[in-house]
Amino acid sequence: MSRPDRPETSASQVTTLLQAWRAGDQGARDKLIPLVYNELHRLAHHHVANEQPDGTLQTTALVNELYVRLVDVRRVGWTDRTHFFAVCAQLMRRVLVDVARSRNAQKRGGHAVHVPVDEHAIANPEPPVDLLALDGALERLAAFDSRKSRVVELRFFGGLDVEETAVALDVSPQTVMRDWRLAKLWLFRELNRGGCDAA
Amino acid sequence: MQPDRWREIEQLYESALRYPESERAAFLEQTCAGDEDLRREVASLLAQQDAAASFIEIPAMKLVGGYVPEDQESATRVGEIATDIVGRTFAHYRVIEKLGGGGMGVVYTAEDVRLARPVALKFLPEPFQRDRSALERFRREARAASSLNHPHICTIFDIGDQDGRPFIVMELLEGQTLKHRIQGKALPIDDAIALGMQVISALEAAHAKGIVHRDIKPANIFVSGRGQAKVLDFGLAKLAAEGDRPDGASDSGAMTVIGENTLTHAGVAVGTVSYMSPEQAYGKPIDARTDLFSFGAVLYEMATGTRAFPKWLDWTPPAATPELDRELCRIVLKLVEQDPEARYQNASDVLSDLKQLQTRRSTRNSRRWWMTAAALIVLAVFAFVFVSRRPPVQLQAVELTRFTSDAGLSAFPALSRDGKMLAYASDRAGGIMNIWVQQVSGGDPVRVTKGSADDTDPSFSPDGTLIAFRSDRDGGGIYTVPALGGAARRVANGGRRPRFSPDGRWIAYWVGERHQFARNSIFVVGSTGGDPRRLVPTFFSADDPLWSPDSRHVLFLGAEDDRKPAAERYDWWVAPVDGGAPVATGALAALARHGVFPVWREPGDWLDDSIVFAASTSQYASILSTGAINQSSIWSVRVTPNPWRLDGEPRQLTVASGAEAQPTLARAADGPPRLAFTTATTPGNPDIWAIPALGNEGQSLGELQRLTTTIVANTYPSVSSDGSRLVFVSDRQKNTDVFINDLGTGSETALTTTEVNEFSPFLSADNSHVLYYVFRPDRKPSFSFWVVSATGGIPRQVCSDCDGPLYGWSKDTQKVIYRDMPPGRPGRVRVRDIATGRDDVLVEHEQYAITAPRVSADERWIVFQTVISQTQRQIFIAPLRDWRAAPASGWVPITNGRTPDRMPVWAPDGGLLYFLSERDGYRCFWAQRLDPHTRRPRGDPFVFHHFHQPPRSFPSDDFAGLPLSVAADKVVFSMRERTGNIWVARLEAR
Repeated sequence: MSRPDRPETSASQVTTLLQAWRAGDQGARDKLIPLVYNELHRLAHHHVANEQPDGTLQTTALVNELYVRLVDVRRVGWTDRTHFFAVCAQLMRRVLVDVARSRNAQKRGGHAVHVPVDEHAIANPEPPVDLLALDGALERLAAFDSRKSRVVELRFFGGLDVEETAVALDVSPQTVMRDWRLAKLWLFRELNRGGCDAA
Repeated sequence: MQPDRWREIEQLYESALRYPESERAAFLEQTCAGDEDLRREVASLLAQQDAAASFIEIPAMKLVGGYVPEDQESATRVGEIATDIVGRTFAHYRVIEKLGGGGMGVVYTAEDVRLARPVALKFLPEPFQRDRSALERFRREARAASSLNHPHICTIFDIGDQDGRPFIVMELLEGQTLKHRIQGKALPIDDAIALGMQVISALEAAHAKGIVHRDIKPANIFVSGRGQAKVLDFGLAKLAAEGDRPDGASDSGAMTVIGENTLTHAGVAVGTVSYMSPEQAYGKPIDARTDLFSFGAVLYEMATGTRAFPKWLDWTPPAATPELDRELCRIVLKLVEQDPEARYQNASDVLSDLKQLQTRRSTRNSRRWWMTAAALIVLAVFAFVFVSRRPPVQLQAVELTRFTSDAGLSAFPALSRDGKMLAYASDRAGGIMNIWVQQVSGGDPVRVTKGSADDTDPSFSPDGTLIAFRSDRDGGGIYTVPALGGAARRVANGGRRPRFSPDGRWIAYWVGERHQFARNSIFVVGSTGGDPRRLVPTFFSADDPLWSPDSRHVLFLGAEDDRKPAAERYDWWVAPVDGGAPVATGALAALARHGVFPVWREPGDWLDDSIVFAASTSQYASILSTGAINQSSIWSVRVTPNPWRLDGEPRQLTVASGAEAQPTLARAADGPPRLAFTTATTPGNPDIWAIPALGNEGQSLGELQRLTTTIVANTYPSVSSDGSRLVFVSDRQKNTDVFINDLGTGSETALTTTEVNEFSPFLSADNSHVLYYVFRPDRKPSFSFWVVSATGGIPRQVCSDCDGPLYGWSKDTQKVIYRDMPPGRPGRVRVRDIATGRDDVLVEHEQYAITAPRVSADERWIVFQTVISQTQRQIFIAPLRDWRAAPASGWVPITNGRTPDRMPVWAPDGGLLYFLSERDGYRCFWAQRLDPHTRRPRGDPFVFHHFHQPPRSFPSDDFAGLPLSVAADKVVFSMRERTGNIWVARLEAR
């Protein structure tokens, strides 16, 4: 995992990278990621655990805040914006999966605290989704249907709604719905077959 | 799975969905006849439908909301691993894994559970843990080192100790040490120079603060995968050295004992012999120059792969090797002079020389490239050779010198036409930007403006007698002032970046803002005033005009219309000043083809046939660590008329050493052109600031004042309504504590000294007590409310189960206002009676979360914002009766919900609201007058204070915005600042 130090992000840099990426420079996206990652991580924490316990707050709002902060909006159009959201979805995936991974690592370590199962469950509620397993399954899904994998990434990790996902992927909302429906089933099955990839 | 197979499955699945559930099995049987695998696959997917119904429907963010890192208690329960640090929590740092042993102790990765960021924890070696005075020195040193905020210094976030184990909390770095990187192999020379520049700039910053590293060596320099250097362990070597001396008082020689190979104290390497200066090794008094010696040894090793001084106590100058650039060799030799007097005397000089060397090399390289390309062109497109004219004169910045050395911000340089004078804006006199003038050759700066608001963007008249500038005073405008001071004169309302025409008759400037929907316009006004005339009025947007040398044209950044996507909309245009059709130069597209992207797309200055501008390139954009992300450098490109076009390649004049911006050029009569520009640095920690004001009128009365000056974060300010007392929280100990400041005497008292984090303090109406909340990021985040006497003492808990942050206190101190977030409902505002425990909803909305509530002083109204969506907030006022707000139908809308406004607060008498707004593209303080009876808005919102300067965009870090607080005589808030200085250089033709 890359752990960039805290960059003083500049709107013009992010914007430039965003535009470069949209223009087809995949390298630009790689450069964007460490930038946005750090901010997102901070904002995410801010929202889930700190001063903004905001009932209606969605990931989208978070990413929007980030967007407003990081991007020189004068210089980008709507497509850039959705690209930005797409980057964020990918990053959210990384942030969250990393959190899950580090937590798992701790549990596996020899120093793991021995806590009765149910007490642990109460004290430290597990998300009902095994993010690590989901991450792996998404990667497998991407191997033969990358769009569906992206749909899930954008919606589940990025918190985008159907419309926004459609714009980000340049497909119709109907397609997003269809992709979502099937991807969900496939992933659910993957996660419940005990790690055995029969597909 | 094969994609084709998957398509089949998908199609079949979609088809099956069209059948009622009971018929699907039959449908599949029939359709998949003979393909049992396919049938099973689709059937098994369909079978998941019910079970998977809610699967991943809730976005991940919400799912993990309940996740917080293990807290201290659970870590302490791990009794059996008490000797092991991994897994334990120290203060709010949870140790994750051991990274390795460093010179000064063992390093672990850890998570700051409060900020959820990865950090590195370094535990000091045993001996320090027992020696109290050593510990104290350690803290002092670490504190000093933690004030070093520099992209190439590993940041120290915190220091602490727990159970007698002192530790330092540092930035967690990714990469390897320079020692690992070198390992006997020379680095490419350009890498060595680039890394050397980063290290020396770190030393420059430290030395400026009187901090000497004392142990510069490859093992103390970290290099990230992206080629960013970070110097580690500032101040620690000294500490280790002092451990040898019982007095620990003298600040002279680091050590008096010379050992073999390395000096050790309790197993700790202190100053590594191969890199140690002679004076340091012999225990003589040392100063910053010892670091320069060590740096020279490191630079040599980077460039050659071999140690400069392999033999103990032998400082024979290292040999020049074939790979060592001659100029680099000269620099190294001057660094490793045995006699400190014969060495470079300061890091700045070394940096300048390295910078020049780098520039020279890059020119050489690109020239080589250009020649190759040219040769190819000759071969391939013979005809074009005849078209190409004389080779363009290439300019390079040489003799780069730092012109200002301010701790604050000095920026917006403007050279006089003869290149002898430099005007610029600086906040060095009391925190507000004024225009200053100084001779380029030296001499004292003269302050020429003394406004009540920021003055920026100076421009000399061609004869050097007048300066035009932008001032924020009186709503903002373009002014002129005599260059040596005098009365300022307003020549136009609004506007920014004025520039005198070379013939002195006109001033061009632009009006507008920097955001997506801005429609900016350029105006030209007579230099003595008159009616401004709009240039290119049909343009969708036009800004940043530059005069052509003959004063007949203006080059500007413009968009003719908004039909194209933003990325293609803009170009640099040239328009005749006396009317006539503007011409697109195609410059931005041409520059982009060279991988050069002007910062903000702005052209910077025009001299002869050259446009200079600040730009970043993909090359530098790829370096994305602290500071580097802000990396831009000064470029120039030639522009030729008929038609207006760029001619030749863009040339890089400087080597980015930060955010270089705002270039200005002038041709000295007696020599080559001069260049000046700004290099900005990253912001530091937030401090509390005040704007003197008539708080009830929304009228600003003067300059920004800094109320706190510690090197840690000071946030959550709240000022008493009479303006006499300030409470805030500060990170001075390893967590936030509540402080009170008597603004009359300036005396400051810590009201809490706990291990937990306090937030959001409020003074009681009589200033006798302070209410605040404690947030524990435990397994289940918890909030508790406390009251402490304003003179200190034991805090009393007033609410242990109020599940949300605090937003106010009733006048009788009996009620606290807070927010909660019941499951499945939008967040709402509650009020709790402390004595009776009665707890009621104060404001709520079925659909929208209510945030940022503030009750008016007369307790008859409450202002708050609804979170409509994403970035949208709408501010409302609701009447209160018996501590219950009217339902939504009775709310008074203050903003329309479409402009980005947030964080409303009352003026003390309730007749005015202040709020943050980004409606002009910056985050500024606005105010709205209210009807005294209905509290409906009266008139339009107006600006209370603009934060349009890059150093002071408010708040630059905390996106949610920290609350402002308004007293009768001031408005108080938390803000971080950028700093910057001006550099000048000579341009040399090459």
